Amino acid sequence: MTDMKKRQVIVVGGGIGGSSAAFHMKQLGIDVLMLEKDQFPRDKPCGDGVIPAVFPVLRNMGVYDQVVAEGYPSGYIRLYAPDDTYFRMSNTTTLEGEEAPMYCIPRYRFDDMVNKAAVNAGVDYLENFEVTEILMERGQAKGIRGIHNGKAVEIESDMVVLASGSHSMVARQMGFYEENPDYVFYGLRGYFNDIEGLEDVEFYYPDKFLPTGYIWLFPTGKTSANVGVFITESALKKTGMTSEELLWEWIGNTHMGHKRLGHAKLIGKLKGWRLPSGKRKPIYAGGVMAVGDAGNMIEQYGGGGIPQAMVAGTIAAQTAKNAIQANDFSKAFMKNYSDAVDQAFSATYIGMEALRQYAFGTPEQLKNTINWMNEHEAEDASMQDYLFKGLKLDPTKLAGQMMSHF
Amino acid sequence: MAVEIKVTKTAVSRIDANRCVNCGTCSYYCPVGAISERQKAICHLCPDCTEMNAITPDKVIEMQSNACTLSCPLGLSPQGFIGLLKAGRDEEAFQHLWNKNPLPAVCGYICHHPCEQDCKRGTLVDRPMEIRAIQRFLSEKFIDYVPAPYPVIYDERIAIIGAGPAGITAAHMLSKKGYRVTVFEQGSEAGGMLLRCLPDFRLDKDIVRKEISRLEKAGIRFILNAKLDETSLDQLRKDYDRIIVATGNPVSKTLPLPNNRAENVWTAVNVMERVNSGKSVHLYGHVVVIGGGSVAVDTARTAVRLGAEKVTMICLESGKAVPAHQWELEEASAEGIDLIEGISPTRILGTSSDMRGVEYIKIKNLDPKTFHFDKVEGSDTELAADFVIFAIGQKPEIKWPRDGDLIFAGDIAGDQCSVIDAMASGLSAAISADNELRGHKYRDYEVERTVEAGELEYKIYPAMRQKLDFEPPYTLDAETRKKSFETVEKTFAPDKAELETWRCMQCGYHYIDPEVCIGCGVCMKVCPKGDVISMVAYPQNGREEQ
Repeated sequence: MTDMKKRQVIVVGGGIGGSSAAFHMKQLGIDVLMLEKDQFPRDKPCGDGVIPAVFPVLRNMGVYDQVVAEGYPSGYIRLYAPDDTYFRMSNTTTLEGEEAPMYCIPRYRFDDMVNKAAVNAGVDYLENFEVTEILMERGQAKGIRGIHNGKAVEIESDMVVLASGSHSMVARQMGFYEENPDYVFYGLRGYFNDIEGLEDVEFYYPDKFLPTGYIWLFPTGKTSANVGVFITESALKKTGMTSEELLWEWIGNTHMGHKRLGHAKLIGKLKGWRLPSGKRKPIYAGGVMAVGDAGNMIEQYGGGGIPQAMVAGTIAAQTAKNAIQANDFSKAFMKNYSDAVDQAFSATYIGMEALRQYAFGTPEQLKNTINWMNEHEAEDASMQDYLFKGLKLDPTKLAGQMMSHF
Repeated sequence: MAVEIKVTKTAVSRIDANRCVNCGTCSYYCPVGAISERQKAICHLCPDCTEMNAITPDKVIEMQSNACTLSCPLGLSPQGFIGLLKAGRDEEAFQHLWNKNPLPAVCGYICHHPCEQDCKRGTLVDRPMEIRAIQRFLSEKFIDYVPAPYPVIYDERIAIIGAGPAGITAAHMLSKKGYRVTVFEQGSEAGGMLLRCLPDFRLDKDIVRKEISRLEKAGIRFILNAKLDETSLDQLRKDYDRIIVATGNPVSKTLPLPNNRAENVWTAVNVMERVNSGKSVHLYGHVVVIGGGSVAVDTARTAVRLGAEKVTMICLESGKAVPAHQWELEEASAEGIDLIEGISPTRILGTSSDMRGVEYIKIKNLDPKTFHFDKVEGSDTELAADFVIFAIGQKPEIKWPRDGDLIFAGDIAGDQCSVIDAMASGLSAAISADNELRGHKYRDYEVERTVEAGELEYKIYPAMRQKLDFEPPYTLDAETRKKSFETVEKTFAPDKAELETWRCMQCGYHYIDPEVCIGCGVCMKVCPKGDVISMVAYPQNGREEQ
């Protein structure tokens, strides 16, 4: 029985970000308690794509082999312009001398593997524990208050890691919450069967979804895929529809949608989720670090969030270790965490912001992007090449512009 | 020589929307009307977020114009007292109730809670907050609370005839404003229909007596056994400046049916009064209650407890038009009471010595206002019964002159018959008496209120709140309650009430317009929560920079 004694760190949320943080803290010898409002395994609407950027963390946690065994690999991505032309590009990354593809594995399974890895490593863990408040004293976290099995409970700690996801009330309490409708996406996911001619990951960009939104197809088998909608709140508002209606309209009323999914079958229900992106808000406070969706770490163009959450978990663990050694849990010390996260991901966010603004913002931009990429296919051009060679954006100037909010 | 004095505003008040519980105290006291209520948007854009269907972003914004605070006829803020209770400010929470409601515990037992119908948690997440149960818990906790005596500010004296819910509310509100109020009651006890007609299994009568004694202690004068009628008015006019008549509708109506005076034909008021005054009433066999309203349901449920083997309600209306609330009908049905809808009784069968039942006919095209309908020819049916009870509404006993200086409140003033509506009518009467006496148009946002859409940054996400699903208050099971007059619904245990407060999504908050605010700081002083309002430099506007 896990008791309610004081801890060095309380991790709020047992998803992939929280589990990564708690696992690495346990490895560093920190007394850590992980609290989860739900019960694992639990579902989470997502594209389910686990990309090579996160493989080192998965190896460290001992779940990599399982992901490879259960996941469905995809080596290529196709980006479709509204006029049916598309560009096909490699989706593999060289990792320790090997070409690693993306694996599509249901989050119901993946999150459970990661969570179990942390629990099996000896992390103290409570489920059905809804954290409702961080107890603050003089701007410094002193523990948490929450509801556990229908009883109000308080637990003390030196630090709190917020990995409580995109809807986190506690993150809002701390002022971490992203509310800009251009940077809050809504995702919708369904599993479809009986899809014909499925080879690669596919992205579609109907006009209504722009800027930056899309419909995705991530193969989960030879004829089945995880299909979803990714759209900003502001674009969704303009359509006057729900995300569900948008997907059905695409399937029912557009040439490409009908061709792709007109004869496919939806398995189960469509599920949705809120996706705050761009890491534009602070992610730290006195004794508090936010990880993953609670820190708005989703890419503001690509929509990926798994690597950010899991890598940020490792950074939070290291920062916590340093803070305990220095016996300093102040806001100033926690800034080290935010800086390290920026260092790890600022290139990604800057690139994503540039893609949003210059390559996928309007139907014309999209057409130009896909044309240019097709023209330069022989050179194995990347999206970065398009930004810097095709659009001739100045990398330093771009970084300067985009960095302003970090 | 004219001197122009220019005052520079240096500071204004600001409300922290994340801490505000939306009780509205600040807005009541603000001298310049700078404070208004806002409702947060509740995100429901994903299809599986809760049990309910997803809505569009426009609909999210549209829903910001509803609120529990708009639905209480007395103008209570459910979110306010729930938020104060959650913050550990139990006494302030009770005071919020007491300030606007002279009978908070009574309402905690029997209010038909329109606020719960409008609770957005019920519309968008799972089921509404148990607002009434929380109010009941809070008011019972403070049932022996001794309030500060009413202030005496004005010389004017006010007479209120009738110590039912409407009269008591008018008395409370006028006393709070500083008038000297006397309430005349023809019975031997103040409380009106609450004591006479409400069954014990819905309302504990000790609670009514305690709340009335609290009003007495605070300074309302009750004169009991005072049988006043239109002939007493001249004397009253000499002694009092305004007269409010709240004598209610104490007499049951009956239908002019053949045999309607037979021995086993009763009226609802008759049965309930006898039961409540401790007289023994024994029913047996099949009891037919004519009527489909709340009183009919109470009477039918009382009949079950008085020994009837079978109870059937018959009424004109059908489907959703049946006037009783859905939850009342469900509780009645759980106790084995049948409801025959869409019929009109035509004859009482039998005589005093030989009661055989009631004959009815099916009807169609019922006009809900005039109660005109067409009979379905040839649909006459005989319903065997040992007792017939009329519960088709009540009428006044005394004919008061309608076109004079009297102010009417409660059932006698209109056609609404619920307790909370009667109390709201008492409040309106108090406001109009005050307006007439003071010669001003009182800001009556106590009754009429509006909300504005709040900024999107304070949005609420039901997904995070969905898990908080606690037990509603304990209720007796149907078999136990059929045998006794014990109150069916029990009060929350303290820990359960506190947990229930967590379910509140805190949809609303108050906002101070910095352009209108004069920086007087009254709002800061009156805020019952204490950590909500601060002074900030003008023209700093909006929330703090991160």
